[in-house]
Amino acid sequence: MTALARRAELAKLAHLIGGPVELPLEASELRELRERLSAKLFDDARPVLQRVATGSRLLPAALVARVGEGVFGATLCAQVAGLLSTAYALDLALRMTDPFLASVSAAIDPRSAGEVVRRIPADRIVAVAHQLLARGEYVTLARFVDYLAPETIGAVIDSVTDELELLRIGAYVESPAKLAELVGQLAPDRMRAMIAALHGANGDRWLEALTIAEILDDAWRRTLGDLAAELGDDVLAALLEAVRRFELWTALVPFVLAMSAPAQGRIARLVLAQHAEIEASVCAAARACDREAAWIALCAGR
Amino acid sequence: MTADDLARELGLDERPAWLDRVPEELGVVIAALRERRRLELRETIDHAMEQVPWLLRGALKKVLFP
Repeated sequence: MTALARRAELAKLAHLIGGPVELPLEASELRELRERLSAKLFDDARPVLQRVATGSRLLPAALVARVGEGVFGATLCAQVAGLLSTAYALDLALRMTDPFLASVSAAIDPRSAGEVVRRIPADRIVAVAHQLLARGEYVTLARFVDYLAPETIGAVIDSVTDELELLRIGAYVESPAKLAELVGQLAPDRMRAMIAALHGANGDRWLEALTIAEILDDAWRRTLGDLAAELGDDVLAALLEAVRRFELWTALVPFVLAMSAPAQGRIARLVLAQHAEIEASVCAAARACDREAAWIALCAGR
Repeated sequence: MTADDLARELGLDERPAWLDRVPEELGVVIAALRERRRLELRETIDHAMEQVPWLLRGALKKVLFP
């Protein structure tokens, strides 16, 4: 795991704690801390929430949904949801508004309500996803990717017109297989549009793009890298500038070495045309990734 | 708050090595978060009871506050 994965984990922990956090831990350690804390918070409330879940069955579902939305609020509804039967939780969820379901989604542990989420109709999922996008809840959207059917994910992707929004979600998806599935649902012209949009966006978007490239396998790195190269040296230069700015040399090397030979050559020429210290940084990163020989061979061929 | 205290705060049986690198302030943040969540839950249930028709409140109270 690298600085990119660490950054994503810090964002997820901040989401749970409710404020920014900086800790001297690796990504895997941050993830363990987040999962332990999340479980502890739920365990604290479990006895009371279990009684609430039992008590709710004494009331009409319409009243429970109304009290849930109007009084209980999203965080508690999210916790109780995991203690209800799937059919009852789904019945309540479908009675609630899209903005409230979006708030519940931000608070819920998808592992405890995965089956409920899977059964919500695609049009409601799309509507809730747009509520979350409007709030910048990319972490929440990414957490649900693991629990939604491919066709539902496809419906969300089709409904989001801004490719950079999709990129921001993708950067927080945890499962490499699901991320590959997500990227695979993007038509080539949308992938091209995403990379072109990156060129005009700020550097943080490149950071997210490199996070995705790091999680994906070499086949996808090649596809995305070659598309970037197709768009011209300006785009590749912007990529290198982002790598320099964030010192992401170890993320760059495997990405470049997965590209086709012509795209690799163009990147190598751009690197060699820059200051010697840039070239030295790339070489050091290649050494750290055990790819020094491949990088030297690439540069020697230019 | 020591690493051992933080381990207890997180409900850990064993103390992972990385916990030694977590600043003490995080333990305070976590303790405050847990207390805030506990109080919010209690207040919310009290408020929710007020929304329930009074005829049903008795039965519900027996379940919620046994």
